[in-house]
Amino acid sequence: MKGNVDMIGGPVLVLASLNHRLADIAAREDLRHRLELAGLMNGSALGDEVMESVMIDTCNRWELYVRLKNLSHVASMVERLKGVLGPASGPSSVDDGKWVLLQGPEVVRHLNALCVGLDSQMIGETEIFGQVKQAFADACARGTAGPCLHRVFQKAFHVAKYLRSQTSIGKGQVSIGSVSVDLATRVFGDLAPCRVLVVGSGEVGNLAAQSLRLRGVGHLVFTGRNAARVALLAAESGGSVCDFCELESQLWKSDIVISCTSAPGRIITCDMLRENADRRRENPVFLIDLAVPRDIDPDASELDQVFLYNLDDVSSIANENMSVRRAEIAYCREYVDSKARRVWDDLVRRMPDAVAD
Amino acid sequence: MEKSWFVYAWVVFAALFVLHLTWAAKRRRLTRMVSYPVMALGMLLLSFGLHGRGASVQACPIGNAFEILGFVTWSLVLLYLVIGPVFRVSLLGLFTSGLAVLLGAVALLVPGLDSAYDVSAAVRSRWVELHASMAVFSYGAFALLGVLSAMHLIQHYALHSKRTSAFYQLLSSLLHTERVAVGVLIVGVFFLSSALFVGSFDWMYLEGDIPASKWVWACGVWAGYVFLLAMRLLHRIKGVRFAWAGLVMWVLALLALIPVDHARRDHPPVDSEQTVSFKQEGDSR
Repeated sequence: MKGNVDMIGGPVLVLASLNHRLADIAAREDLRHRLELAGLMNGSALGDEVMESVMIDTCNRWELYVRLKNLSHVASMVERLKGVLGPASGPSSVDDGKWVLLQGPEVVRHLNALCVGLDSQMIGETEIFGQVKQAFADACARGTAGPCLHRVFQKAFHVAKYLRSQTSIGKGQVSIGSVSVDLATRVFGDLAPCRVLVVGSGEVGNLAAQSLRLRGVGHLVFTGRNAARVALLAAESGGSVCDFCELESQLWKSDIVISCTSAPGRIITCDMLRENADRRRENPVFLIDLAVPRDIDPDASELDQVFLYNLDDVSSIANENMSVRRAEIAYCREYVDSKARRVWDDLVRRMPDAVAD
Repeated sequence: MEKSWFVYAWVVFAALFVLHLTWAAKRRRLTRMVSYPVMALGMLLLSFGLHGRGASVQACPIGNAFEILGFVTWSLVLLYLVIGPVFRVSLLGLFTSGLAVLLGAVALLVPGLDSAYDVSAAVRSRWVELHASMAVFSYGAFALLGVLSAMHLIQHYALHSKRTSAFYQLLSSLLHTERVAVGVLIVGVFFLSSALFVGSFDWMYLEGDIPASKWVWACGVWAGYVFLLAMRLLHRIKGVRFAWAGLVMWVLALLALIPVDHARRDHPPVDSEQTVSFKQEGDSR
């Protein structure tokens, strides 16, 4: 089994992890269903041999951190999980397993890396940190997290906070939606009073609009030629709908315009924007053109107070930010390893209770 | 001795500027817990220097270009320390310390700026002193307006040319810098207007002995800033044009100090009372 180490003293710390690296989305769906049936999704079916437990359940992973009473219980736990999830993955096995079991210091190291975002699909993403914190808070509220897991999780949070603030592992946005939000923030600062016009019903445009909504944009207006689809998107996002023929009149009222239609030509021209500038009293307007072919006249970027970004611009920013993050991976892994070793040594000293029957 | 305090203050501002740059290079902002205390220390040292000068001349120390630059730097830093915590303009500390270093370098390194002047001229009227100190303080506000304008122009350039370096991402948003700049402009116009109002009493008392060219330049600077403020409040000038205007006006205001100083020199005193008046007025710009 991966990460199987000879534990000399210390708590019997075990992690069962089912994640995006080992199982694709269909497999994850199937295994989650099996876990639910076995009563493991809510931890209700954990046996008496479990002293402490924390369960992390996100769209990309299901992880169970447990502290067992003694080493002999590890084998029975593995057998039980195998019964539900099938064979575990490991370097020496045929590697068809969809989950992995880690023990001892490997558990600490994995949790540290997870909180930093090193184990995420999108390196350095911050969402996982919040999810782990929430899972730990839930475990504390249920009373299943004891002194050992408390120490392990708190130390992992410290490591994550340090690396996220002192390195570029979480710097810059790496998705089209969040890059768009970042750019809009550089123009407007607070996005709450901004009015956003979403033109078209393309998925990328809608994702960008969702990101803006999450960052506090108060007023979203959707328009497009496919009225039914636009109405559906507006309902999902809590925005309003306007008729596509009102585009020009809506344009001057909007601070941010996201365009993602499948129109063959330009639907927002330089003249429309020039006319806008007067009516908007020279307030800036931020345009995100995510359509191919482009919806907005590229010459509009020459206009004062008009900031135009197209799909290539936004993608290249996301890629650039990702390469900055990748450059930090080696240092972060090294730091995570050294901290995990220290935490484990500390645990061994404090809780020398690993006893083989 | 008091000049040493100016040097110490300059060293502190330079150290802070380097610290800001180092952190910006690491894609991070220097924490305000460091920036404000260090800036306050620099201001304290500058205050010692200005106080020493003031004690020597028994008046507000704005008698030559060296002292005026010192006073402008002092008011620039004071305004930064006041508006910084309230409005939280990102990287304002970097730019403010940078300008403080620049002004300090000019004051300390350009020969002849710290020229001797008639000390007796500085003690004639408390009203003239008030006028002069308010005018110089308004220059501090206009300096900060220039700093904010420069930051706005840099962010505008970065957004237009699609620059994505971390430095640009650390800068405050366009609307925020502009909003704060308008507030600083109002403060500057208020102090300059008050300075001219107080100064006009002295002018009426002396009836035309103050050279007309000095009044023209002084009122020209005032009118320029009032016009800029009016245009901005009426939404006639905004964004990048407002930022350019703020920056250009600051340069013009600095250049206006030269003819104002010449006007003072070109009008030799007739008697001791007038000597006092001319020197005091000239020094106040």
